[in-house]
Amino acid sequence: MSDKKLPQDKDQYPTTGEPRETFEGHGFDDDRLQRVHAQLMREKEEPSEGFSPTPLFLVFVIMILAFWGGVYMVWYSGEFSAFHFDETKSAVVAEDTGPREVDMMALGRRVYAQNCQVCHQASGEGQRGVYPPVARADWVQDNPERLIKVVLHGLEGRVEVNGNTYNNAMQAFGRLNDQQVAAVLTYIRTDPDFGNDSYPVSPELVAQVRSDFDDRRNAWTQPELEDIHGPVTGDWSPPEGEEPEEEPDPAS
Amino acid sequence: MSFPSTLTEAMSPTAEPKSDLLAKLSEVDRSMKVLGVFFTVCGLLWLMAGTLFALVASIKMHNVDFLGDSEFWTWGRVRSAHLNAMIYGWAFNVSFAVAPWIMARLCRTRVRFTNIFLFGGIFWNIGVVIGVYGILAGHKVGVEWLEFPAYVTPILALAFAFIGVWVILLFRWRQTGHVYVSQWYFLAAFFWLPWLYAMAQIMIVHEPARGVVQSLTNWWFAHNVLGLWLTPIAVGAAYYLIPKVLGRPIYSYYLSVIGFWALALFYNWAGVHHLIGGPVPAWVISAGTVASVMMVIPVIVVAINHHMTVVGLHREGWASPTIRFVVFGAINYTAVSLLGSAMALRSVNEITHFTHFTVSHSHHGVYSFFTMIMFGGIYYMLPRLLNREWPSAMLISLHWWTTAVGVTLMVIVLAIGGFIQGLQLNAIDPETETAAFEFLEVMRATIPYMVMRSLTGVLITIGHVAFFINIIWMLSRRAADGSESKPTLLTPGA
Amino acid sequence: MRSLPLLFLGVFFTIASSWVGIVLVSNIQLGGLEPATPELTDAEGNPIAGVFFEDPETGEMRLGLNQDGVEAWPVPLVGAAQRGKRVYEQMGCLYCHSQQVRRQGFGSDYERGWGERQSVARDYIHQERVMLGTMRTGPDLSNVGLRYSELWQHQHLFNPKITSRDSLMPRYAFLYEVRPISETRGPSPNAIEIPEDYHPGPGELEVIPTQRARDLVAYLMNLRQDYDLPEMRREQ
Repeated sequence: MSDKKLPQDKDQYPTTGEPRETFEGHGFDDDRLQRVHAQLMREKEEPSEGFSPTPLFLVFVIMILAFWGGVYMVWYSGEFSAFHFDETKSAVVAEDTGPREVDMMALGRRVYAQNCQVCHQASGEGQRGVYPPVARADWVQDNPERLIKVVLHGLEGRVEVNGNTYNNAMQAFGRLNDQQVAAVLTYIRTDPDFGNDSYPVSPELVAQVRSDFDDRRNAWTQPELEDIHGPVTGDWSPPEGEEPEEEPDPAS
Repeated sequence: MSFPSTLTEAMSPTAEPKSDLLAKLSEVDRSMKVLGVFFTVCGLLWLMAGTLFALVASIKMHNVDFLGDSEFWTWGRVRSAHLNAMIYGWAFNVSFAVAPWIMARLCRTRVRFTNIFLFGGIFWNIGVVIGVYGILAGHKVGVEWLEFPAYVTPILALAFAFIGVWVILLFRWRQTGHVYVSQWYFLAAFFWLPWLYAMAQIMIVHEPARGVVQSLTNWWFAHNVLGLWLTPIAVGAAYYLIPKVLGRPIYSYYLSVIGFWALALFYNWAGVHHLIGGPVPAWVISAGTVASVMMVIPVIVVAINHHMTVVGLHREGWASPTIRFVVFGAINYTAVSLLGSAMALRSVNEITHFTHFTVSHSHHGVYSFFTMIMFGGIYYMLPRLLNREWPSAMLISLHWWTTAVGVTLMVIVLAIGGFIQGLQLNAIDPETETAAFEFLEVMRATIPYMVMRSLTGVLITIGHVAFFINIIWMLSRRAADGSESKPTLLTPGA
Repeated sequence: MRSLPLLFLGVFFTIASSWVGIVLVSNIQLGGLEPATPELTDAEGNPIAGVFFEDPETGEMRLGLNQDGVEAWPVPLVGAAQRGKRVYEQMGCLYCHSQQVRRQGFGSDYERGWGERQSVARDYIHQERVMLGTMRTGPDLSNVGLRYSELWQHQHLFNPKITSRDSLMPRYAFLYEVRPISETRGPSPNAIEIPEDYHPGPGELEVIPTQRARDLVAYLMNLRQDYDLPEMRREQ
């Protein structure tokens, strides 16, 4: 490593192609090399290259891959557009097929999975001491208007459900549209898995409650709701003549 | 030029008289001694630090309360510390040790002005220390593979300038006419990396581009650190070490050429497959998918080239620690790349994206392939730099078995766990049109795999400790005086 | 291979190709995106389907214009939400949570309720740091602001097990100050309610979110992609 001791011309190998006679400024022989660098002596040759021919099948592989690549690129180019994110569809604007028939139970199931499930759980049993249940719950089988209020504006403070007390806060889901709210309430009130034997909620009822309490910003509390609807009983039935008609069977 | 004394010397354009060759190599090794040891030891320390971070992060994945109240050790930071310590600490340092040494040997020129090179190395490691501390202290950049705080950029850039220029200069000073395939790979790697790093830093960290252009740049960079830096370094090293140790020419020059240019052409486009399904235009994803699949070409070309060189010499190779590690790495290069091509297909990616399958894949690439080849390189390089033998063949053997078995199990465990996770996440109940498995249910199902991953991690850690002890032991030994010249072999009598 | 200029040119052009293709072209295509109204109009103000319309005079395809008097999306984060994004970044949330919804039919993002539509490039134009994420050890957060209340978020951050019993998420209790309830002033109005089972000391201690926790929750509450964008109209 002592570069200083070396004469300058040691940095260059002779350009004439003559092998160097000295090594690090000393007479160089095999014996010395053996001593300073035993590992080197047993080294094999520096790597070199053979010239075996390229296997023919490789040419085929390359051709097939190149062909596939070209086809894939043409097929899924998305027309090289900045606004085309789904490679399987062409950029033609879909025709408006008009309003579609909505399966309220399927929609409700999806809305429930997206918004309610984290707290109330897939089973609807809630979490003991934290989130009240919706399955077999007196609140759910009660007046639908009370439920709509809870969903649209939220609920906070002490709440008694099925005789158990909870103290937490439920957020407002006013951003859901009337149909979504109606669907999710219909779902939890009528799906046999939740064991709530009640009747469907219509989007019109949701729209009505929404417009009635348009300016409300805070969440409801249990006493407030009781002032309007009375205590939760669980066997509430609508006044005579107001019971909605049986919904058509979702399967049909 | 003296007359060729053997037939090989007469026929091969690279042949030179043996004594002259040895004199040159001896000089190269002496000039690389301080650098090689410095970068190896730095890399080794980072390997140990990265292993510690890895263990902590892995345990936290199934035992959330482990160090749960420490902000410094919170999972999101330890994970980044692990990745950056391993990549910028271990992988870069060991590359700076092995690649210039092989380059200098192939150029038959000693490394000059080593102090400047060393200076770059010291700065690099200071940069990485500050960067990793910055991540844990909460100054990180929220971009994968670029987590080092912005103030580390100039340090690393400057340090790399000092180091990278050296490799190019080494090549400039070469004393040979022929340019060997390893040299192409190293030259290309040392040219590509600064470009990648500069672009990523400018367009993401310092002058952020608009919206998802950042994400595209991010994955262009991150995948290319693997593809255009780690891969060429490791493939180049394998191209040197396999024929060198086995004493047989590489199978085919033509395959080397095809392999190199196909890698250069396709790998740099492949990175966008990390954004499949994401908010980027369809065409750019398609381009990434095509490039990823085209990577099959360089991979099988290199696989044939290496395999045909090794074939028939398995017994000899098995005895050599270098060949064991390097061939393991080369085999895994083939495996991980073919798997990667498959994962880039949209239909496969739909399942594996966002799951532990990806984690399995990245460990497969950076560890089973890159790191194992580098272990092999160190086992070959250090005895020559230090002029002494490895003190313990038993420790090498322990290192080999724990890491090879450990990482293979880890890759398999994570791949299976990740694939199940992906299937469950995507499963849709056709009747209800909702997800068939609740999210927490899917997560619970991954926990056994996370526990197994930690166990394989412990196995790998044992191997790293053995490696650490062996190197420190070797460094603290007196230089051999020539009486001991037997190679350290793993199978006696081979 | 002896021709070095050729080697260098090749090495240069290969990386230049992907840099131009992936980085530069996408920057040209996406770098100029601006907030847009759900429906765009042509030069006369008539609504158009999709993003482009044909100029009647020249026959060229031109980008549609925003409708007058309609709010254009997305809107940038401000104040606490902006600071909260920094906290999100520092805590490394992106290593477990993605912020991108895949389209319906590709994965189960839609069925899980992570979003009503696929995320598109325009959703991210205001973000100085885009954290799409590549891992889903936790759920996608593109629309998390629509799903939970602030209280839920605070409880979840303080101890994820309060809201999700088997959660693998680490707790971020260090973002909260647990302190004795003041004897003179009584419980603080800023304290968050923690169910008794998880409370560090019910009746004696209270849990107050620090500035960072409030910022982070403000950020999470602002994560939403529920507006319509014109590019979605072509693919539904």
